[in-house]
Amino acid sequence: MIVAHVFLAPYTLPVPFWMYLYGCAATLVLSFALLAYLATSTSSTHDQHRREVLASGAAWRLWRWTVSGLRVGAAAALAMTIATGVAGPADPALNIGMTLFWVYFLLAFAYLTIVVGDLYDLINPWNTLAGMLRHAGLDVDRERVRYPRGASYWPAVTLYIALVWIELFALPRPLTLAAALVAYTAVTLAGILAFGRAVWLRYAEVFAVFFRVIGSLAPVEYVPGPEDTPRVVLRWPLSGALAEHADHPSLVVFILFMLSSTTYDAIHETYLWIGVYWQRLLPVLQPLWGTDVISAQATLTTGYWWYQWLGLVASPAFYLALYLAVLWTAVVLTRARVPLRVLAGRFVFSLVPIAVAYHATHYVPSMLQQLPALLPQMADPFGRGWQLLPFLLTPPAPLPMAIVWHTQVAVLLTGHVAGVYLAHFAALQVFPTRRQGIASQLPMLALMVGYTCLGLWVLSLPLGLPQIVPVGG
Amino acid sequence: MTALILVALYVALARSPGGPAPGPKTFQIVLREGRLISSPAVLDAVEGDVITLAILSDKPATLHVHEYEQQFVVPLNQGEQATAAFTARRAGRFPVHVMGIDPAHPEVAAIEVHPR
Repeated sequence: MIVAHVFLAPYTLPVPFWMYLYGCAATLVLSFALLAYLATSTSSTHDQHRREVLASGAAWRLWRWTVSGLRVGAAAALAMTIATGVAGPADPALNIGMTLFWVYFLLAFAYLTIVVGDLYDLINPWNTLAGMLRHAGLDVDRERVRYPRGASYWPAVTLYIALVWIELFALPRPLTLAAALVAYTAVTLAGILAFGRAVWLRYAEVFAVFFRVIGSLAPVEYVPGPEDTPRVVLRWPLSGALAEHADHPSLVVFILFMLSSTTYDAIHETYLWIGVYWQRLLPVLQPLWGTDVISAQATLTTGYWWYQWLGLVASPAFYLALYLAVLWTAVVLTRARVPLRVLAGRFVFSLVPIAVAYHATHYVPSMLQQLPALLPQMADPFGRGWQLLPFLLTPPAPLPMAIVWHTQVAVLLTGHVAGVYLAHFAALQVFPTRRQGIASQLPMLALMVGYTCLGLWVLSLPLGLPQIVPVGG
Repeated sequence: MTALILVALYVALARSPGGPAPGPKTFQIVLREGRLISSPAVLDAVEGDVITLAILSDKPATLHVHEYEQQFVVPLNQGEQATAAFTARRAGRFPVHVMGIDPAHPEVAAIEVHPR
């Protein structure tokens, strides 16, 4: 049986109400200040400022070895996660695979990507596995089956929803993670063999899409280079996102799910959301379950989880509806003849900083608690009492709440400013005249203020518990 | 100018975190089939409080309170009230789990310790 250690459970308290109010007021002040500055500024999109680094001599050799080392490390981390899931400690807080995957890969590496760019594209362990298959004589680059044009990024969207579902609702069992990774590896390799490596890694490999989107914010870009090693190009922060656009509605939904899944993760444990089911829906549905709450517990609990799952799946639809309504308003306001589909694809990357800020405010405090666990777990990865390294598992002191709250608000505001900045240049690119571009900012600004204030509001909501609350109580 | 407005707003709105008054706190937890049937489910305290939990369960089980550095395990016998006391040394939200009845070891309550 699993020992009830808590793994990555949020320990932070809701942001105080006054700080939520301050965050919303500061969002408005910053938005108008930035808009006023950008409307009168003649600055370019900085696209011309690019410089290659690590291009020659010892620096290039060191970079090449680093990439090779990271490729081996990433593949070894995947193998280790699967192996310790099967034969390591069942307690998630003691299992190195859980730390490697959920903490280092999905959280720490995602935030590192904002700084160092889409490093994942260079060290993707599933790409390394495909390379090994190629070495063994299999042609992994051939498109044996034509990839359906309409499928586009939908496989990545589906896999992303599945990933978040596992994160939020499956028991945090190392064995479950190992099984999911084995299944994912099988699906990925099958996809690569069927549709070709380039197509599958571009459209369907969920982590590749996730890190590519986040990497668009980074001041570092990797371009194809010699000896299977990419060249490193420095650029202005955010300039990568300016150059990007979603080439299919499914990528718009993917990015909106980045926003909505984090909001949903934050809101699904609040009194408000839990109360909608136990105190609003159940009285309406009473003919279906009777009058005794306790005897109907199993049915009601099953219904509760369905309510939660449907909430997760429906969450991007809510964000998409808001997003499209705002873009439609911009079209009406500017009388520009730009199709909604084009606008949706052009503007969606300006939401990425807000999504990343949402993500960081929600997960960074728990991540910092769990990061130091890696070293002691490496000392005894299979829980056999080994002492391969001189480290003991001692949780670090948690951050004081005041620091957590202030950082959360500051991060959300930073994401908001970056989003408004990106939306401004996207508008200048997509609308025929500068006047129309600036006019189109008002609805987009309203949307971004709304998203940011929603993020702040969710942070301030009291948390509840997923259990029976007396109806009407 | 923008920075000035932001600072002025902060000064105008800033309040100390607040929370319930400090002191000893006793909470009743009643479990049926490993689920909480008493209320409230979220137990509010302030840093430095001595928290006493009085727990009554209709099934034998154990109750786990997860603090940052330590974990309190309280054995529960069928129909007997068990008590456990500890000092809330740090602010934060600490989950309370029931073990031994439901394999999902559900979180039945949470202790929220507010900064002083």
